[in-house]
Formats: sequence, C-alpha cells, structure tokens
Amino acid sequence: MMYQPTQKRLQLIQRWAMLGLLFVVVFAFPTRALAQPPSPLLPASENAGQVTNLFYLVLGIAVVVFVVVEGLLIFAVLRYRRRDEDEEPEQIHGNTTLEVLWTVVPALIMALLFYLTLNTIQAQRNTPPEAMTIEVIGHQWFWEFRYENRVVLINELRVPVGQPVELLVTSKDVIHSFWVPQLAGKQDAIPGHINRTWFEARQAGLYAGQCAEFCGLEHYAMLFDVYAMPEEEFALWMEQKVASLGDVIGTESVPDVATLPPGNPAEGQALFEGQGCSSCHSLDGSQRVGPSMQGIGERAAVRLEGYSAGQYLVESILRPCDYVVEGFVCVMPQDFGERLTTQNLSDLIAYLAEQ
Amino acid sequence: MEQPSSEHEEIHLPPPSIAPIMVAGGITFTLVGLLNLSLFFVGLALLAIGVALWAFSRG
Amino acid sequence: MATATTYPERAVSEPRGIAAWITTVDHKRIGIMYTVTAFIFFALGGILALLIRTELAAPGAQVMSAEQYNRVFSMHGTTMIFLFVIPILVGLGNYLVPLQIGARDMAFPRLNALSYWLYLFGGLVLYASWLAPQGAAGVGWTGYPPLSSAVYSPTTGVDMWGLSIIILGISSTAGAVNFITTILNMRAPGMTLWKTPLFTWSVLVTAFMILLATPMLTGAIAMLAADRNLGTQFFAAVGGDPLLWQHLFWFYSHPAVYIMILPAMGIISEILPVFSRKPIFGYSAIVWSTIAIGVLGFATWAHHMFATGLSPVLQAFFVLSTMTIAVPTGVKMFNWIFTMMGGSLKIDTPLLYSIGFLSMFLIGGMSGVFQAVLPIDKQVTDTYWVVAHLHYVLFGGSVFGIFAGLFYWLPKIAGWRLGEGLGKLQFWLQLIGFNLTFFPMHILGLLGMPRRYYDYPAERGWTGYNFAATIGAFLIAVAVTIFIVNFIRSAIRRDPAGDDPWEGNTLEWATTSPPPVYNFARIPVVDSLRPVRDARLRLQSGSSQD
Repeated sequence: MMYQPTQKRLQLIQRWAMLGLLFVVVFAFPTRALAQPPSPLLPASENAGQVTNLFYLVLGIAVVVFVVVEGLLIFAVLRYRRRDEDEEPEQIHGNTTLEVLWTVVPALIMALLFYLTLNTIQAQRNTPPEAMTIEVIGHQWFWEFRYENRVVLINELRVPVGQPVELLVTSKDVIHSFWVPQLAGKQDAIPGHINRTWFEARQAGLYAGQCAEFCGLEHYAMLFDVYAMPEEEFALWMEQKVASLGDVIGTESVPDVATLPPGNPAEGQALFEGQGCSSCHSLDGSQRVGPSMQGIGERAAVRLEGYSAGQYLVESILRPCDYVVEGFVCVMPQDFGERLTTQNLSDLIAYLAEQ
Repeated sequence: MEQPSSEHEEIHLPPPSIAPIMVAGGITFTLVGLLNLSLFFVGLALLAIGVALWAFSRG
Repeated sequence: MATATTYPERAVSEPRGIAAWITTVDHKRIGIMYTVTAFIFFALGGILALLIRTELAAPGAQVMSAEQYNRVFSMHGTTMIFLFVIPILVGLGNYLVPLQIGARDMAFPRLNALSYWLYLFGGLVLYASWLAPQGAAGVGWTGYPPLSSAVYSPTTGVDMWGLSIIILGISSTAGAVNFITTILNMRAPGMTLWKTPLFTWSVLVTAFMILLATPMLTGAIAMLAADRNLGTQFFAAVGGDPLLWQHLFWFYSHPAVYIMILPAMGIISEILPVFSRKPIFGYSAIVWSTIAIGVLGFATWAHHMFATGLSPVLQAFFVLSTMTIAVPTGVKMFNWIFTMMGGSLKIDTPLLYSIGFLSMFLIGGMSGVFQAVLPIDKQVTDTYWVVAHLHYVLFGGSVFGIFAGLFYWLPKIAGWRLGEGLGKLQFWLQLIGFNLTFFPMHILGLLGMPRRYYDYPAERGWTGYNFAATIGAFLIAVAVTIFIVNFIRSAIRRDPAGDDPWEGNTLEWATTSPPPVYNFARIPVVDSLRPVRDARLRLQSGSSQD
C-alpha cells in the first residue's frame, strides 16, 4: 500500500513539531541565560570547576542517549501507525542479541561514570595541609563563621584568593546546609557532627551563599556573602579585625550600662542586622523565634524589677538565658560578648531604645 | 481458553462484613488515642468488638 | 454441555446503598473505593501545588506567610506520595489482579477491606492535622529531626502526621500480604508465573517491597514519636544522632519510589502490546528487570544523603548501587520501544499516555543519573533540579501511567468508555503543561535555587522560570478538569464498551464489562501469555471457515 500522509498523520507531525519547538525554546533559555551567579556552572574554585566539567560530560552523554532513545520512540510511533484495520504485524517475542546489547552498553557507560565519579571524589577528598581552618556554625536562621584567631563573623565569610580554606561545618540547632555554589558543593551542618569541606577561590569576588537544607521558618532567608579577597587585602582586613578583638567585652563580665559610651542608633541598626539579630527578632510585632523588638524601648524599663531599661537590654544581649520571656525557649547565642565592643553594645541599646 | 467439562461448580463468595471498618476504626482511634485518652479507649473497644466479629463469623 | 453452576444472586437481606459499600469485601468495589478516594486526594494535593506555584510565581509574599507555605509544601508531598500515587496503584491492582489471574477475589477479602478503610482513616487523620492548635506539620514530607523534634516543632500536627503514616503503613502491609498470597496461590490452572501478566508481576514485586520496607518507616516514626513525647534521644544531637533518622527514613523511602513506579510500568507493559498488536518484546527480560529493581532498590537509599558526610566507603557503595539500578530500568525502556517497533499502533489515549510515560520517564531517569555522580549531586541536591527529577519520574512516569491505566481499564470497570476527543485534548494539555512546569526547574536548580524556599531574591534571575512553571501548573489543572468533565459526560452517555473494546490479551477482557460479582462463570484454563487473544483468533478462524 502506498505511503500516503493522512490528515491524522499531518496533525501528529504538527503536534510533535510544536512540542519540539517548545523544547527548543525552553532549552534555548539556559544557553543564553545560564551564566548568572550563583550558578554552580560559573565555578570560581578548582573543586567547583572539576564538578562543572563533569556535569558537562554527563550532559553530553545524556543528550546523546536522549536523542537516540527518544528518536527510536518517535520513529516507532510515526512509522508503525495503524493504516489498515486488518493488519496483523509479525509477532516477535524478543531478541537475545538486542537484550545483551542494551544491557551491556548502558552498563559500560555506568562503569565509565563510576570511574570518573570516584576519581573526582578522591581528587577533592583530602584537604591541602596549608589550608586555613574556619568553623562554620549554622543557626536558625543565620550563619556564624569563627576563625582560628577568635575573629567571628555573622552571615559573612571572608577568604583569601589562592589559598585553600577548610570549613568545619556544624549546627547549633537543626540541620542546615552550607552552600556556596560557585565555590564548592553542599555540606550539611548537622548538630553533633562536624563535616569537613574545602575550596580554594581562584578569583576575587563576592559569592552568594545559601542554606540548602530545610530548617524551618526562615530557611529561605538564611543567606550569606562570601568575599574572596586578594591575599594582601585579606591580610590587612584580618589585621584590623584582630586588633578590634581586644576591645570586645568578652564573656566573663557584664558591664554596667552607666559605664557605656554614648550610643549611635544608626550604627546600632547596622549591628542589629549584621550580627544576625533580625533573623530571630522582628521589628514589626510579628512573632519569630525570639520576641519582637517592637516597643522594646518602653517594655525593657518594666520587664524586671530593679532593672533599668538599659541594664535589662545589656544583660538580655550578653546573658540571654538568665531571664527568658514566657512562651519562648532560650536559643539565643550566649557569646555575643565575644563579638561586641562596649561601643557596639551601646549603639545597639540606643537603637533598641527607639523601637 | 479451554472450558472444564461437565463440572458441578458452586461459586462461593465471601459475604459482606462490618468487621473490617470496625477494626480499621479501632486501630485508628487507638493510635490517635495516644494523643487523647478518651479516644484511646473508644479505639480499644471498637478493636475488640471488630476482631471478635471477624474471628467468629464465616468468611 | 450442561454444567450445574450456581450463580450467587444478591440475596434480599444483603445490604444496599451506602451499607453495601461499607460492608463490601468485593475486590472490585474496594478497588473502586481506593481509586475514587485517591483521586480526591490527588485533587487536594494538586490544589496545594497550585498554592505553592502561586506563591513562587514572583518574588515577595503573594498569598501566604512563610509558616503556611512550609505546611503547604509538606502536606503536598505527603498527600501525593502516601494518599494518591501508592493507593491508586494499589486500587487498580486490587481491581485487576484477581481478574488477570482468573480468580474470584483476593485471598483475604476482609483484610482487603481493612486495608482500604485504614487508608481512608489515615488520610482523614492527616488532614485533621490542619486543625492542630499550633498548626499542621511543616517539616517537609521527610520530617528530618531535629527540626521535627518537640523542641523545634512542638505542634501536635507533627504527631498526627506521624500517626497517619503509621496507619497507612498498616494498610499497605496488610495489602502486600494479600497480594502476595493471592498471586502466588490463586492463579488459574495453566497460568505459571511465566504466563502471568506483567501488571500482576509488577504488583507482586511491589508487594514484596512494601512488606520489607514499610516496617522501617513505622519504626522510625515510632522512634520520633518517642523522642517527641517520652524523652528518648534516638535522634538527639547529644546522646543520639539526627542522621539515624535519615538512614531509617530513606531505607523505606527509596524503595517507596520504586513502589510508586513499578505498577505504573506494569500498566505500560499491558497497554503497549494490546495497542501494537504484538506481544511484549522481551517478557522474561522485563520480569527479571522488575525483580532486579525490587531487590536493588533496597541498596541505594543513602544517595539521598550524599551531602551529610558519609564515609568514603559508603559513598562509593551508594554511587555504584545507584548507577547499577539504571541498567535494568534501561532494559525495560528498550523492550517497550521494541514492542511498538514493527507493530500496528492504534494511537488512542491509553497509548498516548504510555508514549508520554516513556518520554518523560526517560528524562526523569537521566536527570537521576546526574545525581548518582556524587560530586554533581553535592551541587544539585536540595535544589530545584531534584524537584524536576522527582516530578519527571513521579508525574511524567507514575501519573501518566495511571492515566493510561484509567483510560484503558475504565471501560472494563464501568462498562462505558471515556470520550476519546476529550481524552486526547487532556493528554496534550497535560503533556505541555507538565513540561512547562517542570523542565524549567532543571534550569532553576542549575542556577542555584534551593528547594523549599518560600521566597527568593529578584536579582537571581529565577523569576521568569518560576513564572513559567506556575503557568504550566495551571495548565495541568485545566487538563485534570477536562478529565473530570470527560468522566461525567461519559458516565451520562454510557456508550457500552463491550467485553473487549481494545482487543485485549489478558483474562480481564474475557468477562463482561463490568464483570459479574463472581468475575468468571467458570475459572478459565490458560495455556499462553495472551489467552484472550488466542480465544479471539480461534473464534475468527472458526467463523472464517463457514
């Protein structure tokens, strides 16, 4: 019977063409738009770069497999459509050669991928001995970075370019995941565990970090910045940081509010965000993990008998678990004294007094 | 398909039963009753009756 | 030949109306109840999905708070997995397996009914948790401690979530016992396991997986409940280990994904031969592949934990096991395609959905291969890449397979056919909507968008893809609505389907549509894989001799 394209066949070809167009259109997006931070396909470290290369290799294999298999499928559908109601095709039950072929070939492809995977894991497993160690502690809902020299940063990680950095990742509460896509794969932050990961930034820049394990209410807002700085710049910055350490209050004593220098509310606001306070304390009355700071200026004065508003705030920041507002659990970090100078403290209190 | 020849075949089908939904209710209330004591005892009662019905009726 | 067969009539004293359904132990009625209930939960889970997509269509809060969002996506996952996909496949299995093997009912009819009622009640308990004083569980369908512990999620919503899954687990396990016993013991004379239909085979392997995996989940939830309410420390950071939960949970939940796909694959294996007028290509290869997947499926669970700090040995093992399981899956894919190759294809809705299944599952399977490569997984896990992957296999795979099965078997179940025109319209809309929703999510994952994010910064460049995905989701909703319209219209029209509208191969097509309560007047004797086809050909050659 002569092969005549029927109306139905034309319709089918039209539909497949539309589908193909849709695929191309959707596929075309990434080709143009993929190059956007914080995509892991824009690696800024050797480790991330190796993974990206591996990704493109697997993508190549996947595209070939897809074209072959989908092509076979579409061919079968188009070529063997029923044209005659009485036609009875040959009743083939199987083919051993084909079975062997499509078992062995995929198995070989998997073997290749397994080899490459193990290779990459091995290449990235061992931290270089000269790596700088930084502790990464996930909290609901901010990140704490502790350097070996007692410098502590919140939601901000600074690393030197060209030097490996080893991260010891853990959590103080629930499971989080430390992820800077352009620098390294994820590493879960699990309380009671210390997970190690490392990377070496190869160009200076600002890289976005995100929490990548669902950790509750503000999981989506647990973002942090990673600054990779040229070595000399980093050294200078670190020097300044260490120098200011001497000024921190420490955790041994609690200053009397009367001894604090005058506070600057604008600086206090910057600290309120920069130190992670806003992660747990809202300013608009909405309840989060901690009490809202709305109206705290007045409330602090009458909270505890014998405490002025200022002193109440001082002790609430430095010794948060001594007095916990009813209905809340004390999960506030108890070591803000290690990160705040007396000026910082005063600025914060000045800002809070205005709320 | 071949048909069996000259067979006296009596088709037996299991009769309907209230026991399954009772036992299901019993299990549910017993488990949810771990959060609420009164439901727990309702559950145990349903379970006991349902299992008894199940065990002692013809299936 | 006069055979003295007595057909049971419905006795006057038998329950009628609602009472009939509440007391039924008939596998066909139970199968219908499963399917209808599951479809309702599909609609509920779908509404939750539309809420998620509406919220994510643009940056900023759209329709709900972060707290509500967390509950919505958690409930969406739990609903779709435990209250829709697994039960509807069990429901179709319930209806079809006794018919396919030439039996009159399941081995344990009352246990069968128990399974259904436990399913319904478990679902009701889960949805009752919306009313918990401190809100429904918002800990993901995965419920990882410490987030799901009493300290960080004090709401009883989490306890109710856990209880409902335990109730559903009892339902599944009872069902598994029933299916295994039925399939191994009640096949018609002549039906060896190697002449058993592939859908029944898939249900058999699935039942074994359910039997062996479910206790792990039940145990894990019991331990979580103990931690939450009795002060134990199984999953505590100090005195226990949060990772223990993940191992226990995924030991069940990875086989669970094969539980969700194997019966759908079984449906495809039924439809392709019928609509190609050819036998299934490589029957025994498909059987062995199904068994291999059932076994290997228990050895891959920790590939969900590649970012948790597994030891190098565990890493290598689970990479290997995950890559290995791709092989039998690929074998089946090729056998299905070669069933169609050289055939005479009737491109009706069941076949369209089967072709859709093959295409979409191919994509989903391959995105999984990327994730098997551990270093790649450490970048794409917990991102929208995984959301894309799981929906390509669960929706593009299982749900397309389910719709294929519904269009294929509804004539047998109801006695009337679904309209073909609306069926084809639904298929194309669903295919386009599905790809528009989930293909961009691969890109979102590669752009760095994590999962379970209530909101995202506008400057990341994620907005366009999210918006496209939302449009796609509403297209899917339209397609599902068309299905409902089609169903109602066809139910009113009642075009009689006849015993064998598709020229089927297997025993369900040897009886009336719908079957009598006793399924077959006489239990058939079987001597091939396609007994109904053989009988049909004998009839045709008999009449052509006139």
